[in-house]
Amino acid sequence: MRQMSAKTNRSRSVSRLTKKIHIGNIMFLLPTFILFTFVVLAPFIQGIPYSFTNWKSIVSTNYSFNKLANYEYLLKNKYFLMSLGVTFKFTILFILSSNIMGFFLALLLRQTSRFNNFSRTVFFLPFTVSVTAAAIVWSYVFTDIYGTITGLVSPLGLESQIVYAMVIIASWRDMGYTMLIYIAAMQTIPKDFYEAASIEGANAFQQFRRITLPMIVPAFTANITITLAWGLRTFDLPMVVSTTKRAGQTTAVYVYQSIFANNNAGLGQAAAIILTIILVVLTQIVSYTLRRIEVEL
Amino acid sequence: MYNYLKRKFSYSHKSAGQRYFALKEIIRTLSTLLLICIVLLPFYVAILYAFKPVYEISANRLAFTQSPTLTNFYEVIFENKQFISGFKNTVLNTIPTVLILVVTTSMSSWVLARFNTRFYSLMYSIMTVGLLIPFQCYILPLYVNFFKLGLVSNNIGFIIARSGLQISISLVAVTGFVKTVPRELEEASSIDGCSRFATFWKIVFPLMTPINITQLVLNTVFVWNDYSTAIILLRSKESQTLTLAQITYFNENTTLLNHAFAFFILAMFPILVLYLSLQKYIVSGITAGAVKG
Amino acid sequence: MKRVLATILSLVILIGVLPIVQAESETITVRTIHYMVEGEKAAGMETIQKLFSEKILEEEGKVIKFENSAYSQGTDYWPQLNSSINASDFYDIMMGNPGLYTDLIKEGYVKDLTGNEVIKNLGLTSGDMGDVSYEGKWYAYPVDFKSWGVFYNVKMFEELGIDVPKTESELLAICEKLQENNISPWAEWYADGASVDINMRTVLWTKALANGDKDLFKDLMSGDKTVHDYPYMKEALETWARRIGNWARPDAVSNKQTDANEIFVSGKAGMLYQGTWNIGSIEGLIKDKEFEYGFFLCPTDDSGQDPVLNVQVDQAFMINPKANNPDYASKFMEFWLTDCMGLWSDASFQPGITGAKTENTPPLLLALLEAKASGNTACYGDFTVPFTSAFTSAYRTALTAFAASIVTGETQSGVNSVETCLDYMQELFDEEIAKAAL
Repeated sequence: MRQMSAKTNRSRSVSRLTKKIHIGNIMFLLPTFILFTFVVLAPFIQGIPYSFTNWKSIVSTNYSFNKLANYEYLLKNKYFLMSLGVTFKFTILFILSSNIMGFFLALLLRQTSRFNNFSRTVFFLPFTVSVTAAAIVWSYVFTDIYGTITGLVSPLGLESQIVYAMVIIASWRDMGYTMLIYIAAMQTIPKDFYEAASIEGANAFQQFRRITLPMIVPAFTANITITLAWGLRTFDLPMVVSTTKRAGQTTAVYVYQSIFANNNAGLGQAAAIILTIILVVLTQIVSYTLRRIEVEL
Repeated sequence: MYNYLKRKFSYSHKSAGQRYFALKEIIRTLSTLLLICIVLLPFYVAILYAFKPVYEISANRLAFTQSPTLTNFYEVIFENKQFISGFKNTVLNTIPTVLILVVTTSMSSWVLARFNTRFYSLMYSIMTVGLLIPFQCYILPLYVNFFKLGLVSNNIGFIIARSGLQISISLVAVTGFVKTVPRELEEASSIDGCSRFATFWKIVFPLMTPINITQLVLNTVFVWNDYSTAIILLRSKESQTLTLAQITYFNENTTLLNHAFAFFILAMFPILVLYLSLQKYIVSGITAGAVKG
Repeated sequence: MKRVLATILSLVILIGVLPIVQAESETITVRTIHYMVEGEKAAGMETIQKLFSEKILEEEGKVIKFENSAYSQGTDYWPQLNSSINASDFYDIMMGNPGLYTDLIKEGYVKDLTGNEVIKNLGLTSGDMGDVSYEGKWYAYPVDFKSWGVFYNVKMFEELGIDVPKTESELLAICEKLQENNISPWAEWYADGASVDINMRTVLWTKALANGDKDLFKDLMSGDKTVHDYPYMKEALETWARRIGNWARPDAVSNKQTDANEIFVSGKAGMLYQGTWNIGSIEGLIKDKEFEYGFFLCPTDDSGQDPVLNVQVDQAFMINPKANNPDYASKFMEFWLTDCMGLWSDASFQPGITGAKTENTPPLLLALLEAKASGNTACYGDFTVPFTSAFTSAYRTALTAFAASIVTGETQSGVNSVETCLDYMQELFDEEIAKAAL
């Protein structure tokens, strides 16, 4: 890989072949790039200017630029910061629980057997359910099953517990995904590593620490990065379970409500930009750190 | 537990290893079964309601119904016009979307994985940043653009939008996979005088089968269950998908909860079949993509 | 493999295109966006649409096709309508009370119906018309109205020797009695914003209007007044809290409308505080069952006077003059209001705004129509403006926190009493006012 890039950068006398390859490459990239630009990139860029306006209702065309007023307001505003707090709390708990559960399940089911295949299917099952449907079914689990057995109030009804309830629902759905990735990673570890370790007298914990863990760190990177992005963007779930409770409303909900429901389109757009920046920065930091750890292990 | 194991262990030295192993297996199986029960709880609730006669009111909402019935399923399929048309639309939307994604992302990923200059890294970063932009941020301009082009309330618009939205996540996985595929084969073929296009389709694409099948399944799950894009872009009743038809049942004022859950089970079924039939490919595919990505 | 893939792809895309090609025939399409997600209402409207299409085909020889989009009011309706207008993707008929959609009116997306002959001939009160007006002009066709009160289990009341209460003390005594007999007094559904809202209205609207505070909502939204300036805001909360009492069910905070109905009909609770829009759902649940329910207006004090009936126009429809077929849309609404009110009332179990009845009209609806005709009413339309959706959401957020704190005894968002609830409510209002000033 290094050599290749060195070669293409080395001199201006690019051979005809390389040029041809370059054009060929662009042809290969073009469909994806056009599609992506058309659907995501262009609309995103189109939306940025509105974050500097006092645009209220999206049905009106009446607005004027107010510089950074939206950003100033948001960064000082209690409720916006609260929504960020909810988002972070949810994301951290969600990353932890979906990865720990997924990892644990992977440890249980890493060997291929008929029973394990069946179990994997069962644990992947929730992932095939839409978030909205999952949230609704769970609200019945909390009221009918949890509520009937314990006689307690459903956690979805209490501000102090609603985030935890959301974490349960989200992890239930997504741990099947993380599990599959962990299993896949564990299967790449050659069996003789363990045999050799056993012969040398390493116990189960030492084997786990010295062999399993370092070999599956890339899987951790992949899973943590993706659950981080999913967690910070969580939208469908709070929209279903937390419409009248600020304690469960994430920033994505704040953005949506501002733009579409509460006639604060400019403000909502600014909130969206802030959220995007946070997302990009955090993901970069997290994947950089994880890669450092990969190298060290 | 640990002490107990230790005692067992020291009980008889001869068969200690075997006993320990058997015990471990039993614990492993039991805990798996326990977890399976917990994970299946919500499905129990769904099934409970789906098989309950519509107007049966029981004092105990946990108990399985005395007179299970299939009428809910029957009524959802045959009396609700939304189900048939929703199913048709969902299938017609999902198949092209996942196929488009397979073709475009595998082509691009190959290039992005093989070349590492600044230009390609930049392209990769741009296209994967989509994973990080909150959807609410660009949904309004997207809808306005699509409406101006006549792409609202029809399958083509949805297919384009959904493929575009899915590109980032697919690209990450597929590029990661291609990096693990040895490049000797393609180098040999290009020496043989194959065009790049032919090299890709004849040599590289078949090698990518595991990740492509995985992507096929995962993207099917994402597109099949899509709600946020569908509700914005598919406005006429005729163009609505299963998820949209389903959500009207789950409304705050719904009286037909039983139908809602029957619908829930029916909508999940095709994906389940797809997953089961392709299961053996999935594990190998995800590994390669996600782990190395 | 490649060729097969390409063939499948093009085939599928082709099939996808077909419906669009078909749709371009020469019919007149009237597009409707509404939030009648309950099956019986949507079906009722579709029946009327069919009759109208037949009529137009007969009279003018034109083919009218209706395209209906239904979204849930609480979450999706307003965003959907909003974004479609932004994209100039217009609906001819838009459900909603104009007071909530003032931006649409200001931008000219709602047809001015002031002086419309058909509406004039309905002979409606100023309160009714207030709900479909904005700044003195008419902007929507009102179809029916809603109110709220207590549904009760008739047989249970008879067995326990309970009479319909005339005063609040009697109501609270009934709660005690039911509780002693191990029956929950109320089936609550506080997971739904509408529930907490209607629990306030009986006191709030009645007292505010009796006091002449027609600007209540307007002044709260502009910030000229605070919730502390209106003593009946506090009174409404206190009355409601007494009703919840110490007997709330643990599932009160997580139940939605459907769940509460089921708890009520299964006999686990004796009473249900609900809107009249729920009659159809209850009727559906008790089909083929020996269950009898009654309805009374909730007494809120010990005066013993007949409680005032709150009235709010429920189904109302605006016409978008910029859409493709606003004229046929108007004609359709006028057809509905003149020829189909009985049909609508029977299909939807809703009391028609015109007071139309048929031989099938259930006694409860007759009683509601009679109560409305008596004039002992407090109409939402008599307020100058209603809460916007942002304020409604803020209001309901504070009320939900209050309900949850009473039910569980836990502080919610700092709310654990009437005073703290009012503080939280005002804080949320101030937040909306500050955003509007940006």
